[in-house]
Parts: sequence; structure tokens; C-alpha cells
Amino acid sequence: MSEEEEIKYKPISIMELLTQMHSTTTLMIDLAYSAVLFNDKDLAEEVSELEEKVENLKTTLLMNTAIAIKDAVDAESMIGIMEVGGAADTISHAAADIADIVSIGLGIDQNILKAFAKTQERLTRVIIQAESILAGKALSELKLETNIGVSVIAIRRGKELVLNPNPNERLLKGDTAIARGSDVGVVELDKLAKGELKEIPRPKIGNGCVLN
Amino acid sequence: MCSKLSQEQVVDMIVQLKDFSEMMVDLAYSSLIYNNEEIADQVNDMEEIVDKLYTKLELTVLRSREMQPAEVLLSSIRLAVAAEQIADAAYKLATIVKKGAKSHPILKLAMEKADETIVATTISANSILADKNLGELGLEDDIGMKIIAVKRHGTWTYNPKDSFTLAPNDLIIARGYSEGRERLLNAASPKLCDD
Repeated sequence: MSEEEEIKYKPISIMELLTQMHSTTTLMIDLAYSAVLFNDKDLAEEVSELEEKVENLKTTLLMNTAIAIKDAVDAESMIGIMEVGGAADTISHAAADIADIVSIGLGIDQNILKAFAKTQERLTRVIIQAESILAGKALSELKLETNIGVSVIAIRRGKELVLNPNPNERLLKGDTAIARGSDVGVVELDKLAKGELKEIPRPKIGNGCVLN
Repeated sequence: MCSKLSQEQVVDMIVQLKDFSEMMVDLAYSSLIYNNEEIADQVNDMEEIVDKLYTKLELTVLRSREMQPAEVLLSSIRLAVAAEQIADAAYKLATIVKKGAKSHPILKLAMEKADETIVATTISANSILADKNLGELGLEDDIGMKIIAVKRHGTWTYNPKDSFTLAPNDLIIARGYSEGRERLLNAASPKLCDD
């Protein structure tokens, strides 16, 4: 646990704060369930750190909305935004509680883990092999979300853990990628990582025009 | 022998709680972005189901207390509590819409800026998606877009199954990433070629 951050106003737009809160809490739920599924204490630890980040974002959001409100009309239009901040904070705490199950080593019914591994949308963990076509490529080149419906939520490289990797991040040989996707997509990712599949499947649905 | 059954029930209920809570969050944000009370109502209905499921799960876990170590039972309860809290947060979001708070435009903009977000669109008559079922289309695997709700003739279908066939004029709400979103929008209402 890091030290409590001092409450201090930061000039950051309400929109940016909401985007960050939404993205972070979505990521936290995925990371928390991944920590459970793979019994990964490092991931669990990252979730508690993000919990603190969301807490700070919420404080900043409340201060920003307070500054923006000048009258009753403003207050009515801003209440929704404040409630969204509160809901995101609740989700963040829930995710941290899930991660805590792993941190304190409670142990989970194996049948639950098996069932989680079979849901339609699922989490997966793959190691990038030397012969994989993914090795050495940036996420922006691979476009796994659009091509196979899989989103890489974290990359473990040796002791380093990259959360929510940005598009410029490259997958390297030996990296462990933690990802979320459809049942079909995660199988494709697995084959790509092992080098069994040599080409990334392209979407059938194009973005071209149709003839009248 | 009844204990084995109760263990299976616990697993099944936890998976249901997880699925429900995540679906509720998607729907709650959709209701908020599109200021849609019907979707908000659906979130409320689901919250009631979650509450019942959660109580049933707690009782089942307590009844099976001799079957498994206390730690394992506790982790099952904690997973359920967390899912229930996530469902509660979704319920609160939906309540904002029900109370008639006007969705602030910033909210929609903020959601659109997120990597992963929600989009609503209508299937046009010349759409390649029309008259195909979701299983054939495989949109989630193909372009990473998951359809979370469809409205047809005033009736919503939530979390439509693979056998669900899309039709012209259907309003669909889907979740996914930027480029997949563009492809879905274009597939729903294809632009015509110039010549």
C-alpha cells in the first residue's frame, strides 16, 4: 500500500475524469477475475493499487463538479455525473474485494474456476513463443480487438507487468499476455501465440461500400 | 448425495451472478448514454433477480458448510458479494435515468472516448446483417462487437442468443472497440458506392 495521497485540486476536465474512471473500473473487473482464475497475486496487488487511483479520480471529479456548479440548474445537470463517479467507485471496491480473495489466499472451489473458464466471454493467458507471428509486433499492427475480438488487458514481461498496454506496446517472445475475448477468439489467440496459426484471421465484415 | 448437488448449484449461481452483474453494467451505461428508461427498467428487474439469487446462494453455501473448508466457502460468498455490489452500482446508474435526470452531454462524450464503449444503431434494409442470425454472424469473434440488446417493434431482447435473427429496422446496442464499432455501423447501414 502506498501512502495516502493528499487531497489536492487538479485541473483536468470532467470528461477526461469520467473516461478514466470508466476505463479503469472496466479493467479492474477483468484483472480481478483474472487474478482469481490464474491465482495470480501480482495481478491482485495491481487491482488494489487501481482502487486507490479510482478513489483519487472520484475525489477530483467531485471537486471539479463542485467548481462547475453555480446554480440549481447546474446542480441538477451535474448530479448524474456525480452519481456515475460514485457507481464507478463502488465497482472499483467490488473488484478490489474479488482480488483480495487471492491476496489473502482463501482458495477457490476448482469447479468455479472451471466454470469461469467456460463462459461465452472469457479470460485467457498465453505465452508468446518465438515462432509466433505475434512476437515483435505492436498491438496497433495486430489489431486483435477488431480481427479476432480479443483485448489484451495486461502483459507480463519478466518481473514487469504492463497494465492496459497502449497501442505502441510490442508483444515480445516470452511475454505472458492476459486477454479477454469470445470463446472462439481466445482459441485463435492461443494458436497464434503458440505459432500454430500463422496468419491473423481478418474480419469478414469489411468497411467498404455496397453496390446499389 | 444432496451435497454434491448443492455444490453444483453454488457454482452455477456464482457464474450467473457474474454474468448478470456485468451485463447490468453494460445496460446501465447504455440507458444513461441514450437516456433510455426502458433499458433502465430492465436493469431494475435484473437487480431483483440478482438479490434473490444472492440470498439463495448464501443459504446454499451455509447449508453445505460441512462439505468444504471454510476458506473455500468464504471465497464463494465473497465472489457473490462482489457481483451483488457491482449489480447494485448498475442499479444506481439506472436509477439516475429513472429519476429523470437529463443525461449530461459530457457523459456521452466521455464514454465515446473510452477504448471500449457502447454504440447504438439501426439495421437498414440493405444491411448485410439483416436476416442472419447472431451465431452465423459471429460478430464478437469477427470484429469484437458484442450485441447486448435489440429492440424490435417496441420490445427489447436482452443478451440475444446465437439463434436470434436480425431484421431491418431492429435497433441494436453493442459493446466493443473503436474500429469494430466503425465496421458494425457500416455493416448496419452500408454506404453506397459512388458509381
